Amino acid sequence: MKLQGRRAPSQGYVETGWSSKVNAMKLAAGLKICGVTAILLLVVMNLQPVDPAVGEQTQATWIETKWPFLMDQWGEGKSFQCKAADCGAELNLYIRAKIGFCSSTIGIADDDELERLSDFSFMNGHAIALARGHEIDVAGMKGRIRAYETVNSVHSPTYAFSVAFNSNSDALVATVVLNGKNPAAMESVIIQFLNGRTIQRWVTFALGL
Amino acid sequence: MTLAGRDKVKNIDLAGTFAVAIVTLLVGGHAAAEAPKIGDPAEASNMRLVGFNDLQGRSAYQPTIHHQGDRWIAYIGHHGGADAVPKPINPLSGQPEFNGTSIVDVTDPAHPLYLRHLPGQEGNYEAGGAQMTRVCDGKDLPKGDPSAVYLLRTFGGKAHEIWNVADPANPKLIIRLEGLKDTHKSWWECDTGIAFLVSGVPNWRVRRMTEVYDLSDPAKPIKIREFGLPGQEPGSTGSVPTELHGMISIGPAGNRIYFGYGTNKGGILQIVDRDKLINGPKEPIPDNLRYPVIGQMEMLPLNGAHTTFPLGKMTIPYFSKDKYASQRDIVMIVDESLVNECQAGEARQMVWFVDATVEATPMVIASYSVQEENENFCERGGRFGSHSSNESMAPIFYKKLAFVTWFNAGVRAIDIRDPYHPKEVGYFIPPITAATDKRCVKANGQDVCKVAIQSNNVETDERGYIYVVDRANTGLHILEVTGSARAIAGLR
Repeated sequence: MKLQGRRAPSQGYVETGWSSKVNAMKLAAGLKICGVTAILLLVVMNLQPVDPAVGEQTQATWIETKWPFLMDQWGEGKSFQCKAADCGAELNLYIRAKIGFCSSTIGIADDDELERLSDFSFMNGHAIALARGHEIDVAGMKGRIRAYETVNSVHSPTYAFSVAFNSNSDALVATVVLNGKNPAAMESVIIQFLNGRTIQRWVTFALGL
Repeated sequence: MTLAGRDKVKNIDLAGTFAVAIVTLLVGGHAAAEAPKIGDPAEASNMRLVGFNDLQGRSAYQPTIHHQGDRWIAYIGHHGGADAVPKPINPLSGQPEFNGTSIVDVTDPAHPLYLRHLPGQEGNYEAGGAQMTRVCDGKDLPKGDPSAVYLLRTFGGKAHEIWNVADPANPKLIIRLEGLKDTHKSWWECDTGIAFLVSGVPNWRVRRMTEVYDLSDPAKPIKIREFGLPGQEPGSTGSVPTELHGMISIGPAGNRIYFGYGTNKGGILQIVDRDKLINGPKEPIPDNLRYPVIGQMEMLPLNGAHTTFPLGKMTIPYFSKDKYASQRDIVMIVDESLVNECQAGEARQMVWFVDATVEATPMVIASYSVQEENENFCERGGRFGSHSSNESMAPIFYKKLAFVTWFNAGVRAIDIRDPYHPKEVGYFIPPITAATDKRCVKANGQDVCKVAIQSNNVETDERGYIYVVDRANTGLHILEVTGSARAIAGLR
């Protein structure tokens, strides 16, 4: 069920690539006109269709879910899921604030600092970094993202991301668990969602901005 | 009646509780809910102001009071400057200087004399300054210059420094240990010279961990090893355990070091065999990091372990008739509050008493917290919650009274003679001044600021004076206990 622009039946609401149903309808109309042209262009240019999760204006639909973890020192945060049909692979994103836990001067300067902030216990197993992390910008806040392979004795290896960005000495830390392959393709989807209104509204609330 | 009026009433030993009750009913919550104002008097019970120095309007952290010849000298570390004044003027030199270390002659505590400001690292708040101080006489150190007095201090987060402060008005830099990610509240044994430095060695996965040094000859530091919790060492993966805040050693005779990890969350008390730490295998691998650990207690994750102050073996009045275990080994843990006005992201930070008689499995047996009800500390501005205790083990207060700073609730005197039942016996909340800096919270996207005292750190001396310094730039207050609190200390 697409929940674009509606309240989810259980809780929360849905963040989509567009802000409203009206916008979606306008876009759909536009797509009808442009669709044939686009297909023709693809054929002509011999290009593969863009992965719906990768495009800048994806139809990634994130549904807020119940926080699945036990209480710890950082308390509960927000939990969201994007289905494979919407994002190209199932993504489960957990984000919470770590007040006063970040250096206001250096921020998340390197992978050591990112890992100090990270919630590895939210990942499905032992996390092994796939590569060095890199800087990101989330709604004007500097941060860092790093991808991991997670290994445990029960499941086959899967992937996860740790993302952190900061406002002064307060850190926002997101853990994204990927049920699928091709983690590199998921990064832009994650960053786009973190930049979206749902997360930014919550950040404003969580940090008292 | 004003808030000031109410506090004056509280400060006088009233004939009966009835009058107090009436006053409280008349003015209690409403008046106290307001932020303090310049001109309001101190709020006090069983503690009295003896002397004051404004410390040049610098945000202060750790005071160390040293009996130096026939003088008493206070060495006071500072946080970095504030946004409004990143580089305050030093009236002695006439020059703007980054916050560093204040050196104050407190021989006459009623008239403290500011001797020297040693500039620290550039940077505001926690990013700059020179927060930590420890002092040892050269004659006590095994290889020290007998004529020297050594100040160990941090230089911002980047370095540790050792100065010769034999002439406290003219310190001389001896050495700097630099290249660190962060530093904080170290410990230095004056009789052995062994120092446990809170450092941030590159490649460790935390900003703060332990470097063990032999500083018996301060001019020739010898690094012994690095230490931390398994999972923090270079090359480890996965979750990073709570980072170090500080430690207190009871020296070779006691052979224990009490490490505190965490400030306001994920607190851990770690009891370490000092000899095994210094002489055991040193490569920072998990087995070697576990080797000297005798016991470890994970606190309620909502609290941290800023100060882990060993009280040693105490005879518990409560157990006086018991034939077994009437004496207990006690550690006092002080959390640090980080958040202004009790806002989101932090639970109440307080003091915990731990029975570590069975060192492998220590357990919390009591707590102490300032009563917020009716005093409305959460609305007064700035932080409300514990921060640090005195660390002097001088007999005058040791195992009898503990002093703990509580930010906008000033300093609190706690009767700890029965650590199973600690109780408050006094307090002093200094008045704000024109120098006191504001503290802000966000409301509807806007800064809402109040000016409130932020009593940050406290230390005592062998004479029985209590030195309280303010994080919000108010200065140094030198206090003494009065009334029943004075009687507990055995002071006349």
